[in-house]
Amino acid sequence: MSTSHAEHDHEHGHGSTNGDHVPHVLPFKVYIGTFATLLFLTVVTVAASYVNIGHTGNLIVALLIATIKASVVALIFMHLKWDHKFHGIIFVSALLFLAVFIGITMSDTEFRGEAEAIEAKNPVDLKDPFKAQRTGDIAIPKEIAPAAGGSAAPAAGSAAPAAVPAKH
Amino acid sequence: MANTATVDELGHSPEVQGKNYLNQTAGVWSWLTTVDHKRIGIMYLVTVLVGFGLGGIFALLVRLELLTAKKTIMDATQYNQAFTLHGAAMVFLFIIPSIPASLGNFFLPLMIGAKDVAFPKLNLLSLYLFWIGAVFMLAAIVTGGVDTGWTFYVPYASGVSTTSVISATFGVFVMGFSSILTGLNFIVTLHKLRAPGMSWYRMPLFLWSLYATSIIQVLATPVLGITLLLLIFERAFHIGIFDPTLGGDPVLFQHFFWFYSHPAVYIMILPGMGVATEILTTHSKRRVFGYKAIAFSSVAIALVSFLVWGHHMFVSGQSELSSAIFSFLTFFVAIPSGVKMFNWLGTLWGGSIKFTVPMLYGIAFLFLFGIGGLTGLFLGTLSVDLHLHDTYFVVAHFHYVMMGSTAIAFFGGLHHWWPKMTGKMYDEKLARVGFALTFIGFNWTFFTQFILGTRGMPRRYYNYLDQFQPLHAFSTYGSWVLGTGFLITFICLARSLKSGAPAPANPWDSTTLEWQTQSPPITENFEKAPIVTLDAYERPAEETA
Repeated sequence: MSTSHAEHDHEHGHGSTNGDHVPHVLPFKVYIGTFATLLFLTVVTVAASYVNIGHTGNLIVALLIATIKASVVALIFMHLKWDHKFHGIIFVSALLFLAVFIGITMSDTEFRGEAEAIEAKNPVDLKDPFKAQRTGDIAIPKEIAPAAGGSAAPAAGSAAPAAVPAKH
Repeated sequence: MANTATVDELGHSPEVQGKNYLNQTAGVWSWLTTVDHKRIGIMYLVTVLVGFGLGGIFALLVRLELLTAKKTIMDATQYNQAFTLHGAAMVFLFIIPSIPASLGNFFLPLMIGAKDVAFPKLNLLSLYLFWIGAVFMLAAIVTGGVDTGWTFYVPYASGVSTTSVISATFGVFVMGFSSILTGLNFIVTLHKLRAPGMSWYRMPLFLWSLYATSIIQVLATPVLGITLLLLIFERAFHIGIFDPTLGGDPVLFQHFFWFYSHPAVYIMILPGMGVATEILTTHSKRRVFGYKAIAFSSVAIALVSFLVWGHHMFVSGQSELSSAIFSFLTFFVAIPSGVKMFNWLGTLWGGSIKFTVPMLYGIAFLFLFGIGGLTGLFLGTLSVDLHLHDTYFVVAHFHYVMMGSTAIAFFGGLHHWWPKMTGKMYDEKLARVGFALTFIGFNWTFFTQFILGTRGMPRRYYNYLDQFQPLHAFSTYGSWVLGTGFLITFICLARSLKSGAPAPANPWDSTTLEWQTQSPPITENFEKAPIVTLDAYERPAEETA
């Protein structure tokens, strides 16, 4: 940062009474302790991989240990624990942001092709392409609806009886 | 301290009178090594205008080719390259940096009463990165072009196309860093360098829109960087990531790409909305209606923009569940957009509207953004999009948003702030002619394409059915009017630079801080750090009494 700019910052330094930088010196043994914790957790990760608690179980354990390690790094090595709360919010926001990206993307990758499977079970009759759909969530026009149900119901918005099976 | 008897009407002492950021130092080197945000803004402005010219030439060539249903002036390969380069140049060289990097760089510090941005050297670095990225893109043009479309979809871009995909994508990758640095600089500047009394709610709304834009730039652009780098790795080293023949997933590329590129639409439009707000309030002499609603709607748009990327992929094989979720979420964008629209109209209501050139652009923005925004709802509706996807309806929609809204706002902002930037006024009559032809030509060109799209004309086709020819020809004629409009606008501004009348400090009688210093401003912006006592759009008591 240039001198002129430093002066400038000084002039307009209102509103930031504490400044961004919060000096905080930790004892050396805390760093060593953190390092040892990380190494220990690495050993635990490797050891846990030899214990078979199912695919999902192993995955959850591994992610749990990784989350603890990342938190220790962020909180102690990166001093987030003693920093402004605002910086903590930014850090957590970044994780949420990543979760949104991966989470919504998985709504695609995990469920891709399901409609095809449903359509395969109920192939469309080309001579009457809407026939199969009437058994689902599509409203049946009054003139097609069964006489018993149609007589009392109002003309518009009558729901399709879900129980009618498709005939193929 | 200056003798009060010799200061000018703005309180400038004799030492700074006649001095400004343009004449304080001279020579090319002084520009290339400057850390003054105003000079950097001007250099960005020149660069994006060159990008606009380049993209515009490709646009006119594409439209000329489509004049007839078969070959008109170029073969199919050249056509693919022309529309790709039109899109890539317009998106990456013009629209994304247009308002934030040029007008934003120039006016953000001025509007908060600061001397410069928080990191002036980083600001210069971002400009150089932008130039380096642009050089890679230009290299791609001269070493074989690019024919993938600006979206670089795989597997075509990663394994099939024989054009200079790596050079172009690497250029975009580098330009992304420029965008991130600018965004970061703006966020820190707005947090740390506001003048005494300039609270968040006293900031001009243009700055709120830049703040929201910067959040997107910082958060989303790295994802584009990663995506393009993965694409380059796949193309260069055949590492299977997206290409199905290598075990990859092409739809995953689209998730990655649109996770940036949809928010990027708001990188483009949000600053335009901010400019429109400044224009509408200044030239109607009305305090902005619903200040906080407009401010927070900018932030809301920025946040919602991250949740809707999949609406570009309704027919690309993504799961039906995803499509339904994205379709549902897409409608949320309409809420803050609608909030803005009604607040703009509320601002104009009862105002003493002057139809100055910037105001004409401002009103055109409202009209064109209304059409562009509402047709977005058509496309966000899953069942309708199945029919309209990849037709000219989409082309027309995003041109109404990007060009009709953002580019129109950019040119409105350029006319609004031109006197401040250059110290010169322009020929209003000529500027009006330029505006009129641009507005008519734009609607002529692109409204026609809504009709083409609904009739089933697919986008990016080289040859097309004869039944579409009259409408295509009509659209092409419109593009000539549009091109003429821009040409006249450029001539008008160039003439102003050469022989324009000197601009007063505040020609539009605006209330915001950038107009409270001389035109053009001195290098330090203000001789004394301003102390803000009024809201951005509040007039002093003696004026309103």
